[in-house]
Amino acid sequence: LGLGESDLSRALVDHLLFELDDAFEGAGSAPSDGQHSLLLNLHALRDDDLFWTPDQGRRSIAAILGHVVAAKHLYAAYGFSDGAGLTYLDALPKFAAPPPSLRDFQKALRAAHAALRERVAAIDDDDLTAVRRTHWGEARDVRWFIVTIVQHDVYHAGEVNHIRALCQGNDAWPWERA
Amino acid sequence: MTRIAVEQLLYLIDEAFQGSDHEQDLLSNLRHVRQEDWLWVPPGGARSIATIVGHVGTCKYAYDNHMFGDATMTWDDPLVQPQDLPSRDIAGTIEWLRESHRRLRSHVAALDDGGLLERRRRPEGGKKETRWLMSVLIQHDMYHAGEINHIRALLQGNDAWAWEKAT
Repeated sequence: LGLGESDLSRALVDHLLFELDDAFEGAGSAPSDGQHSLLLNLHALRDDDLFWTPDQGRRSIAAILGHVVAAKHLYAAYGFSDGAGLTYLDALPKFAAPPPSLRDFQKALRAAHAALRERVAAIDDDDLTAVRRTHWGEARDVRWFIVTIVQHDVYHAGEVNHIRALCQGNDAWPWERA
Repeated sequence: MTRIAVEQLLYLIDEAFQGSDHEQDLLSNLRHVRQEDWLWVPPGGARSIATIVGHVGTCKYAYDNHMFGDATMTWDDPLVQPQDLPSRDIAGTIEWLRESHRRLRSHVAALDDGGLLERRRRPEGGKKETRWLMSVLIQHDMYHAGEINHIRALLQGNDAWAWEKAT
């Protein structure tokens, strides 16, 4: 939480940066165990898993990862400035040679995360209560934009894990598999 | 000693468990779970929504006991039975889950900022700083909320983005 480690005017922002990085890749100078982070949940994926959908399912892992990339770009644009008219379709990742590979998605995710992180790192605690408009027009404070993305990464990491586990036939708790 | 960091952590804890926007938090993802969804396991799957809720509540009770209590709770304690023996009683299980959250939250709320740096025990063994242990538990709620949403959507046949379902 930046306690005793950083400028007091940035203690809360530093904490949110930790949460942001931890949710994304379990990273940081003193990371939590990282097992729920988005990137860690991509490690066991094969390229063939990306576009698979289960019975009754409509969203593939590729669709979810594209959505996560778009959200990061949108929240970076609207959480810290006026958004410049960026739309969801604009923010979706564009790939030079479709179909994209897992590596392509990882690269797009890292670029989107870096863009958002750069915005967060540039503010101090007083800026967290500033009010901005979401891309659908509602007013939210800056802290909400950051916390929502923390949640978003981990929530969709859970969905990715479930789709992967159904696809690979290993949807059991680790202690049951052992 | 200040409490600004504790207050922010409580905000994150609350948003993960019962968020103000009712989208990604754990309880909001249980709102649309029907009785027939509760114990259902998708083809190729092994875990039901009931067992996942049991797991989340179990971790809250166990972490609370090890971080703030006498650290005697084991994974086969009768209190955490819903993880291995899920009940058909949705309301009762959710109340059990709420109680696990209340216990944990109340102990965090009693801290000041210095307390977040204290190293505490965890059920898996060893000690970690309080702030990092709480980070794991915050992520835990949201991660399993995502899994619950996916299972529910498969059985209810509405696994689509919200804006696709609206059209």
